Amino acid sequence: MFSFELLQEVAEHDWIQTIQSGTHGGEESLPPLLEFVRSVFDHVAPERLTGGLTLLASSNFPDALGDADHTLAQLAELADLPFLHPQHLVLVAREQGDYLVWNTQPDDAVLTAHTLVYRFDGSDHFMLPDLTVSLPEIPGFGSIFSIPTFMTLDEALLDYERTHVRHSGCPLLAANWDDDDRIVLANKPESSMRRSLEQYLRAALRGYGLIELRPEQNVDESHPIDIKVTWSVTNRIALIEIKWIGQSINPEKTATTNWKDPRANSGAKQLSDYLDSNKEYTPSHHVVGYLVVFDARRAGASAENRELSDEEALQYLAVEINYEPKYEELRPDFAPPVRLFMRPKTQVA
Amino acid sequence: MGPTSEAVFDALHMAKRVDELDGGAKESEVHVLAYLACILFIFDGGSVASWGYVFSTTSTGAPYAGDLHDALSNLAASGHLQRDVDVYRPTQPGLDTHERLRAGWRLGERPRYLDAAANTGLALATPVATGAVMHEPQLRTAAGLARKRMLLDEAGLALLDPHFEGLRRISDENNTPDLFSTAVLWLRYLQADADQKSTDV
Repeated sequence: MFSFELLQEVAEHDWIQTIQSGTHGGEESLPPLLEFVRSVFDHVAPERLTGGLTLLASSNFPDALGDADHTLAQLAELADLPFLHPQHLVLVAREQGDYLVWNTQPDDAVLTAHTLVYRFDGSDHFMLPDLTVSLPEIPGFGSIFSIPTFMTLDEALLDYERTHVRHSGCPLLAANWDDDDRIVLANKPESSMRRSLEQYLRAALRGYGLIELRPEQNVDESHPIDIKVTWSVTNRIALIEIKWIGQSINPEKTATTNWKDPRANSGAKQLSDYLDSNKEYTPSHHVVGYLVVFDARRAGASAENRELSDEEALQYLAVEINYEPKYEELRPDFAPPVRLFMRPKTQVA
Repeated sequence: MGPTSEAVFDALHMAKRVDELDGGAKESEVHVLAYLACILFIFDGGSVASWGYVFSTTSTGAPYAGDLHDALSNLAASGHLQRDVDVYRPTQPGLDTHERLRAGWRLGERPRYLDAAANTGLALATPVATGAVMHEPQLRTAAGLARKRMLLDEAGLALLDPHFEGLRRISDENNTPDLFSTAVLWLRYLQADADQKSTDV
C-alpha cells in the first residue's frame, strides 16, 4: 500500500529535490550538468583531481571568467583533460561542442548568481545562490558520479574485488573484522558478505531482472543458493554460492573457526549438486553457477595471536585454492571459481 | 504486422540515449525504461491507448513490449543499430534516422518522457533505476506468478493512482514540477518501500 509519509521522508533526503526546488526556473539545467560531470569522470578519475574541479551548467557564466589571463585551455574533447596540470580546474561546455578551461579558483557568489555549479573537492557538491548541496560519499569510489557499471557478472566481480573486498572498502566488510588490522574475521561473517555482494550487484550489474538474496533463516547445509541473479530478456540465471576461508572468532572470543581449501571444495560440490537438482525447475533458462570465496587466510593467526609480520599476514595473497575435482573443467554450467583475497592492514601497501 | 512507429522511435531513441549515458543499451533496459516513460506519460495526463504499444510481463516479472523487441530486431537487421548479443548501439544511419524521426510532427512531447526515464540513470545509476522500476506496484503483484500478464490495465492504473497523487503533492510543496525530479523521487520511493518490506519479513 502506498505511504505518503515514506514518500515525504524520501523526498527530504533526495538531493535532486533539494537542488531543483532551489533553482527557481532552472530545472532543465540539472540533467545536462549531471551528464557533463559523468563525462568528465569517464576521462579522468576524480582521485586525480587533487586541485579540485568546478563545472558550470551553462555558458551563461560571468565575463570575469573569460579573462584571457586565466584561460588555461580550449579543449576539443574531454579526452585531452588528463594532460592538464593538476590545479583547480573550471570547465564549461560551449554550444560549439568544445570546452573552455580556466585554472582560477572562482568567486562562488559570482558564479552561482549566473548558473548552477558543480564542485568536486574530494566529494560532490552542487552550488546554488544561497545553498550548497553536498552529496553522500560512496565508500570505495571517489565520486558518486564515477561508479562504473558492467554488462556481465564476470566483469562486475572483478571490480567488486578491487573496490570493495581487497582493502575492505565496503562498510559491511570493513565491519566484519574482529580486529583493526583485519587478521581474524568477526563471528559468522557470511551474512555481511552476502549482503555486501548483493548491494554491489544491484548498483553495478546492468540489465538484471531480479537479484534474490537467500533469507537469513535458511542456515542448514541444504539451503538454497546465496544469491540468484535472473536476467529478464535473455533467460539467463546466475546462481552464486558464497564461502569464506580464514579464521573467524567465536562469540566468547576464546577460539576461532578455521577454514581452508576443504571448505571451498565443499562449496564447489554444494553448487554442483544444486545445479543438478535445479535443472528440472528451470528447463528454459541458461543457468550458470558461480562459487565466490572470500579469502581471509592468515599464517599463524588465532584468537590470541594477532601480531603477525607482513609476510605472515600476506602469505596467502597469491596462493590459489586447490580444487578437486575442478568442476569448471567437467561441466559447462560451472564458472571458474572466484577468489576474493581480503588484505590485512600491513606496512607494505 | 510489424512494430508500431512509436515502438520504432522509442527503441531507437532509448538505445541512443542509454548508449550515450552508459555505453551500449541492454535490451532489458530499453523495455524497463520505456515502461517508466509510459508511466510518466500517464502521470502527465496521457492515456495508455495513445502510447502506441502495450506492455506485459516476462516469466520473471519484468516489463516487456513485443513491439519494442521487434523494433530492436528490425533496426539491427536494417543496420540502424549494431547488436552484440543483447546490447544495442546506434550506427550513423541510425543516428540520421533518429534525427529525421525526432523532427517529425507526430512525436510531440514523446522524447520528453523517454529522456526523463533514461536520465534517472544520471542520478541513480542505470542498474539502480531499472531495479527500482521492478518494484512498481503492478509488477510487484505480478512477481512470482511465472505467467505473462498485461500491464497498465485498469487494475494497474488504479494501483498507480495514490502514487501519482502523492508525487503531485510533493511536487507542489517543493516546487519541483519537472518530470526528471518526479521520476527520480518515485524510483527512490519504490526502492525504499521494497527495502522496508524485505526487513519486515
